[in-house]
Amino acid sequence: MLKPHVFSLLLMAGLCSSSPTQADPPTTASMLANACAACHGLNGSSQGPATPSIAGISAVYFIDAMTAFQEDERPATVMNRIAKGYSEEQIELMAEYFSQQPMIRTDQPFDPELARKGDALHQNNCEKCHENGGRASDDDAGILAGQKIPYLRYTLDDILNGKREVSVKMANKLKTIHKSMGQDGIEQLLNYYASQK
Amino acid sequence: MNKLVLILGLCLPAFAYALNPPDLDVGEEINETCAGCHGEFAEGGKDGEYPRLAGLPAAYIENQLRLFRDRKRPNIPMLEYLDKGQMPEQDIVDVSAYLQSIKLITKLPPLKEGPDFDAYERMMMTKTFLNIAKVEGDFKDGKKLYKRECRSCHGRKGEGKLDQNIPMLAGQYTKYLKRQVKLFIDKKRIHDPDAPDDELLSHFSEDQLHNIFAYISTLDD
Amino acid sequence: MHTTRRNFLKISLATTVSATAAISPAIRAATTRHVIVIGGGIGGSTAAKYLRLMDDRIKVTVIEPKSHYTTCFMSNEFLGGERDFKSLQFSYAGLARHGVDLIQDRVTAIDADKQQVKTAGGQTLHYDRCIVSPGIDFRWEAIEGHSAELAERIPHSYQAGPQTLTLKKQLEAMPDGGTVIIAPPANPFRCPPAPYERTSQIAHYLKTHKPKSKILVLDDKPNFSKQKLFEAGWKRHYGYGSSNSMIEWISVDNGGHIESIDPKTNTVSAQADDFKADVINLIPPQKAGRLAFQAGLTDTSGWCPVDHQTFESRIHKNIHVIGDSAIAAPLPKSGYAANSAAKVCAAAIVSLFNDTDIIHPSLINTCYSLIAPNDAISVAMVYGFEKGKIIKMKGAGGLTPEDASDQMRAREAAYAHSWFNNMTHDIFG
Repeated sequence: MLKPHVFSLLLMAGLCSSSPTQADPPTTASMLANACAACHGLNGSSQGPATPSIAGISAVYFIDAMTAFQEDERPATVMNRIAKGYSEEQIELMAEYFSQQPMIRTDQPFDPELARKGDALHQNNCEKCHENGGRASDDDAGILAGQKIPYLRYTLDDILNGKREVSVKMANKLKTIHKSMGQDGIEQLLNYYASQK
Repeated sequence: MNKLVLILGLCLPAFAYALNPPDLDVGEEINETCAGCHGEFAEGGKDGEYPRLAGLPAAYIENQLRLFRDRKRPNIPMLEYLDKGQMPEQDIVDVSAYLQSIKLITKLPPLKEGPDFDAYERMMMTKTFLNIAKVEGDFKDGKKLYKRECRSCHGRKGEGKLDQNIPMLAGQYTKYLKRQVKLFIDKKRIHDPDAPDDELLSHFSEDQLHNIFAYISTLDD
Repeated sequence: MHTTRRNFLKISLATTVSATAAISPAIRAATTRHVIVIGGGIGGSTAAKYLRLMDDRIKVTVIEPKSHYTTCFMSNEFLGGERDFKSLQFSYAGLARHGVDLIQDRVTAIDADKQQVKTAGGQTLHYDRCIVSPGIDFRWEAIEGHSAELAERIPHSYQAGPQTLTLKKQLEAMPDGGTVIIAPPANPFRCPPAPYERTSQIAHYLKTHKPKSKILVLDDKPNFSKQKLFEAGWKRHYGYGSSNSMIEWISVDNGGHIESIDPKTNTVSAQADDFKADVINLIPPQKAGRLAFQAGLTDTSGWCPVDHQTFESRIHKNIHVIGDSAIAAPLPKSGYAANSAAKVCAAAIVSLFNDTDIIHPSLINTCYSLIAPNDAISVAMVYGFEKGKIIKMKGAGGLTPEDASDQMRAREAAYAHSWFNNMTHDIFG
């Protein structure tokens, strides 16, 4: 496909690819990931309001989530239907790809007073697993800081209603918060996460 | 360095006097006593009657030694070595650091006879080899439970977390682990110092716990 | 010109950090490659942006007569009264920021042999590869009395823009108790669920503002996309199936096919009967966009056959066709599919320029339909590649379950709006 003079130039410079040409090259991480962008944003950073960002989440968390969708173990709208279209290897490729993308946080409205209370609530209950104010990814828990609020609200709702299985520890903590503070406690947490840039 | 700071940090509030940084050579000497039961390379023995200590976080070992000594974690065999000031704080620090530094291997390379064969090297390798026998169970269920309930603290492959003093589960004897579970559930040991009153393990059925251990037994393969 | 090893390393590094790079082009072309993209819609704009993201050494020129794009998707929500028209409009400033050259002009001819494009403004431009994304055109001749000119008054509103506004004004001017005819075309056509989402959204508008009015759907098909879900939704919100239904659907089997239109009396003659209405939204049968015909890229079906791995025309070399004009079945004619296919096409062109292996395509289609506020349904599919063809992945995709809870349907609506934001940002941002 290269024009002849380009080709000779390449030969001169000794840059001709020496790698054997595969007859049937497989798909690549970016090919797979590009198809996700229309819902999850370019390189996995969502514009919102609801679809979560998947940029920067740990590969382990990504694989867990996709596997759970494939097995209908997580409440979903379209993701269980989408996840079933990928092989284990393809999911691993996407997991690696998205884990390396920076999560770009777009502004979300929040109440500063609720966010302040949510900060304390997070530190006392969630920080051990969702480290660094829910910003860390290498804890293999989802990124909470700057995550889309409707999505987090759905998730916490599903956990409280027993529709999504999470660790006993997390479920108990959440139920304790909900029991003592009602939806206010949940909203405090959500506003805290929304406040993080 | 970080580890050192952490260890000192943990010790300082309890002990007003300053301790020296851990001395691995001294630790190795002290370990000769431990080796009687726990093995020369702290690989444990009698299929988990004596747990593996090699590679455990030093601060975790220190804490356990102090708990034994202060009779907060009942263990009669260990008392004999810790009672009556037999083991000063500095010894605890030194031996714990040494134990953490011991690396065990989980696979033995295939034997290659010939002029390059080094019998001594092979023997040493054999001594530092520990692979936990696979326990039968529902591995899929165990894996799911492990990932959901245990992984955030004990690590993706059950390797524990040195920087948070969390012991490994993979590479530890299943019998030993199961014995500890009973102690945790019976409130004779504290599983998570951050949540001493709510024993996580009491939320699971015997089958579920067994499946978790079955899965863990495969993690070092 | 001499490429030193150091230069080469710098270049490969630069391309590696580009996050969307389909490949790391290891070879620097001595001359700049030029890709002309004809049509600044979903397919064209996505391809232009992604070509630049994947390999910024490629010169990309988009030729598009309009100064901005108006999205078809979510334009039904505007008709329903739940969205501003402005929110559907996007400028090409985003493409310019990615280094895409823009020419506001109309292409009059493509010379496939000379690899040249001629514009109405008198420009002749050379390309190494050309991407044609001309959207759809209408088969006016299929309906007696109809024409492009008449469509200004009896709008299809199927290329969002002035006709979307016309339809909205007509709905607003209509008396309470009036009749709206919506006439969806036979297959294949752009965005198969859209006429039925439009029916839902117009019903929502009427229910809110003119509750005595009726919608008559005269369909040229025996069944339609997401039919069960739409009908259940209409039943839930608009009394469908009852004697007081706001919506009546007449399938082709019951005489829904429209033979002619009389603009003087605002009457359509369907096989079943003549129907007079206050507002007629007649969506004529469709074919590939005008330019596809002019450039000889269509086959007897009226659409453009393409290679499934590169989207290169099967008729003319070095010309790629994407979006609704292309036939890449089982890929549907939808905005999401056009966006997804544009990326596959861009990656293939980068590979072709750099003489590297062409990557296997992987695509997604996710298409939401808003039945009422906080109530949406969807269809999704993942597409792979096997034996030279795009295939549906087994076990994947499908519709919103019929028993989905209100809560899940509300989530779908929130995700539909997120889809719109992310989709348009992915294309024009």
